[in-house]
Amino acid sequence: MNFRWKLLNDPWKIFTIIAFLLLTLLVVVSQIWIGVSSFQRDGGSFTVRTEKGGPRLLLEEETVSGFTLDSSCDGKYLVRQKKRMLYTLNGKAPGKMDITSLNGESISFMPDDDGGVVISAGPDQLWISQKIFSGLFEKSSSQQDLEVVNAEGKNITLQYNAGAFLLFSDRNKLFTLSNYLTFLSRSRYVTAIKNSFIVMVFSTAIAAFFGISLAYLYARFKMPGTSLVLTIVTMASISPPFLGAYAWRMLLGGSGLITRFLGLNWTIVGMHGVIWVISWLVFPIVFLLTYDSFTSLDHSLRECSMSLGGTPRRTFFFIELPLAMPGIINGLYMAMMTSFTDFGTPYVISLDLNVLPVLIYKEYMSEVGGNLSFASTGSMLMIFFSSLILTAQRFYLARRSYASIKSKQPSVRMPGRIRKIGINAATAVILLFAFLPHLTVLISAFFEWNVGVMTSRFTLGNFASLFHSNLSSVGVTLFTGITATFMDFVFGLGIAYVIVKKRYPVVANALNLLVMVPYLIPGTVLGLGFILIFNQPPILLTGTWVILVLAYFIRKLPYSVKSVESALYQVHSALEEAAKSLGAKPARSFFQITFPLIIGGIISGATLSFLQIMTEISATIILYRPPWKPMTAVIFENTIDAGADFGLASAMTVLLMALLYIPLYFVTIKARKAKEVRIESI
Amino acid sequence: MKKIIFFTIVMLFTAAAIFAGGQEEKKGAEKDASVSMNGAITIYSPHGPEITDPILNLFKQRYPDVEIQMVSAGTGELLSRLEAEKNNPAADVMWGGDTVSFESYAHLFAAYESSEDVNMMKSDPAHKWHPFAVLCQPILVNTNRLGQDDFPKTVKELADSKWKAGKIALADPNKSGTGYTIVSGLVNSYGWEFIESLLGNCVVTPGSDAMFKAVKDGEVAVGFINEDLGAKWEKEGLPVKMIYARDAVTVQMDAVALVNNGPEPGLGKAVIDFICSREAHTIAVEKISRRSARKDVAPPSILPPLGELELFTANEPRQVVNAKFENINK
Repeated sequence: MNFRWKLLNDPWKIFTIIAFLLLTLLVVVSQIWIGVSSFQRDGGSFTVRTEKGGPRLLLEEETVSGFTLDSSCDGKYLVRQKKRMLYTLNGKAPGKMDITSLNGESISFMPDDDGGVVISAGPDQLWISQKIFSGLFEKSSSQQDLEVVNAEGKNITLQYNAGAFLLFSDRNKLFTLSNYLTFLSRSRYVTAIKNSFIVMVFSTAIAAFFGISLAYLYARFKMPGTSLVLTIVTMASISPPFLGAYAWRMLLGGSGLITRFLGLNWTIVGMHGVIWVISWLVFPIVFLLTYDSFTSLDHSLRECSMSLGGTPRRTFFFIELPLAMPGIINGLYMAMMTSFTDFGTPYVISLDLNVLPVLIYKEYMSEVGGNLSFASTGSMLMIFFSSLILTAQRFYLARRSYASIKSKQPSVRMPGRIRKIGINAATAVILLFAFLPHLTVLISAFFEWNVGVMTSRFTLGNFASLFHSNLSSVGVTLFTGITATFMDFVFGLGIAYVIVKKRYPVVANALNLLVMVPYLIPGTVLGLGFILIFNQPPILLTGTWVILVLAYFIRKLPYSVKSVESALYQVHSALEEAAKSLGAKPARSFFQITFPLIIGGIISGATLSFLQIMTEISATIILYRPPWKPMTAVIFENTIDAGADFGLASAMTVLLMALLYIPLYFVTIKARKAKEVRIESI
Repeated sequence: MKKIIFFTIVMLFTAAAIFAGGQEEKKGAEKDASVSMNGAITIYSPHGPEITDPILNLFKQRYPDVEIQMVSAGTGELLSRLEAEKNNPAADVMWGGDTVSFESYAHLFAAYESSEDVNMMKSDPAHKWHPFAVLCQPILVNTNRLGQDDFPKTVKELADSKWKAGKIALADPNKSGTGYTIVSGLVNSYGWEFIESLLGNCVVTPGSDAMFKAVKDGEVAVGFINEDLGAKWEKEGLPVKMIYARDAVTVQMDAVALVNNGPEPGLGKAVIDFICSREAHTIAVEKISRRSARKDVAPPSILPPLGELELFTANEPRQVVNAKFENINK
């Protein structure tokens, strides 16, 4: 009684429980489903070709999985599953065969809803269907349906259309490790894993080279237009989903604009192109985080080093770089995660490059039954690798302590004339690369497109058709985006507060962990998990706006929590205690004391969530369903289809970017606050 | 601040209530009179807007109260979606994809005897799919990458070593319906050994759109194409040329079907009747260069008559083609 009263008296405890349950449902349960399905597979299947004019059965060897079939000399097939003898198949006459059970049970049968037959002998079941091929215009009127004509004891006689293919399958799920074994032994899948790592390492390295160098130069030298450069990089950090990658192909592909102009025999399509394009996708992240940590260094340490005789090079490598490491590592970590999970770039910039996110999408969407088991196995491996990367990052940061007392005075020098020109030139080139997709999309939105090719005719027609037929998508994106951001705002604030100030035993730590999990889960995988748990009663959410909102909310929650968290660490709890001692209730002391102090962090966290949500694509394309069709889905559809015009997709992208740059301008560029987001403490 | 938050919450809830309420009202009204031509219908289609729009625009003119919602994606993606949603289907009609795919997923579709079925060159005995168009996949070459003299004249010569090093794009039959039609059709003419040597020259793309675009953009010299899109690209002056090989051209029949337990079966049937109508097929021939599957509509004049072509259809089920292809595409 006493306990319950206490619980209800503290709204934070109630909130903690609600948040905990919600996160568990959305994160843990959906991932458990994926985990389970990665350990499951169908019992097996095989296909048999029959003869038009004879009784013989001919096994298609390649199609056998989960079963073993041996042919005996008299044309019978002996069917075994894991050493257990199950049936013999015996062709008797054209269009007629006997199936005899060998497991000691008698056979029963029933028709299934596909026009096939299910036979069962004790615990063993076999689904049988037939596939008849006739010429293009042949009348297929005199078909023999698949049916059981005689059944007694252990024997049944099956009648089918002579010459048809008979598909046998055991659809009962069984638990197995074989999905992982197959995944890790088949060269196609292993190559996908290898490719993912190559792409991740090289694009992060390229981005780090440009990002860290440029950030250092801007942090150390007083350059005119620094804020303009920061503005442009921040703008570049939001990339136009999907179309951004295609812009590179339009310019540098086999018959791209630049390729043709220069008469080159080259194409960006391929692994090298994927690495290059992703490098520029993640460059802004590395640059912004590194710039912040270089500017916040204690410059007196540098001066000490120099006055003790250290050369500038020595000082850079032994003093400045190590001190800036936390920021750099964070930047690199985020860059690695982004390049590891990026779905759009490899999909667009390569013809046949298999990387994990594309593989998962394709396995799930594959036409024959969609191989859920393999998609799930790939997902589990991806989560595993992401966790490894995170652990490495945490391990590295935990071993070092970087506390220093910051001096307020910025340590910048005036660059010499030549150096200034050099920096400006480098900046111009780098910014051009980082901003190229945005510019291309902007330009292409204002020209007429014809069968997927840009003409030189200026038009506003793309925007006209956007407003005429796709305006509802704008509404859907804004509605789901704002709702999810609002949820991120509320829960991010609450969870961060519980983690930093309340520190309930066990639960607070568990919350902290749970919040970070979605950051590890690729969008495709999260979408898959949501479909698996929300596609059946009691919670039937597929196809509603709710499922989109929940997916957005949970995917981008880490941004919100972490930014509020870092703001909260700067608020001394004595302030709230003072309010409490004066008689204020917890809610009041929070809203009147703490909240106003951390509003900056809250807004920047919410903005970041909002930006990420609005451009989310990988979970969206699995989860959306009309009429709830967000802008990113429209862009995806109008980019992927070979016959579609890019005009609409470009116009839609421009509008989306405009919607994003407005809040970005007010929050980030005006106050430069969003940089404070650090995915650090777990 | 509090006021702003409160205001936002109120706004959001109101918006949600309006959306939800609006939807429910609509549903209720339609259930009473399912034949009345108003409401919203959802069509899943692997066809791009360049194919669906000309026909659906006429439908919209005829029935202004019917709102059409399209989801377009690859055939495989849409079938996977339908399979995942089968307990709670969102779509009413699936339009596009070859008849083999429809038969493999027969349980997702409802039997409906359209009055137009008798006018078709072929019909499904189970009345689940209804033919729309006959579609060939000729060779497509990029004229920037290949001189006139180097154009392949037969499919057979594509297995020559001169096309080595990924000069040919081929859609993966595991991932694409068009890829299945091409591979199985070629197996029908030359057998699996031919596919195996052809594969040595191919980049296998994870979808047919990627294959089409690879040739259009000049990433590869040769590929295969759906003839309606190829004809359109030729007409617009893109650097591509369709070649109907002397020895073999693969062909499929494209279909449309009613989704089982879809939310608006009445409207779904009406849309299918419309898509199968003579009027719609005339548009298909004139505006999008598709060969109609109706007996009474002549093929487009810019395409060669079927009688002049060596046609090959798929003759093995997807499971068999996929497993064998997987086996040789290491």
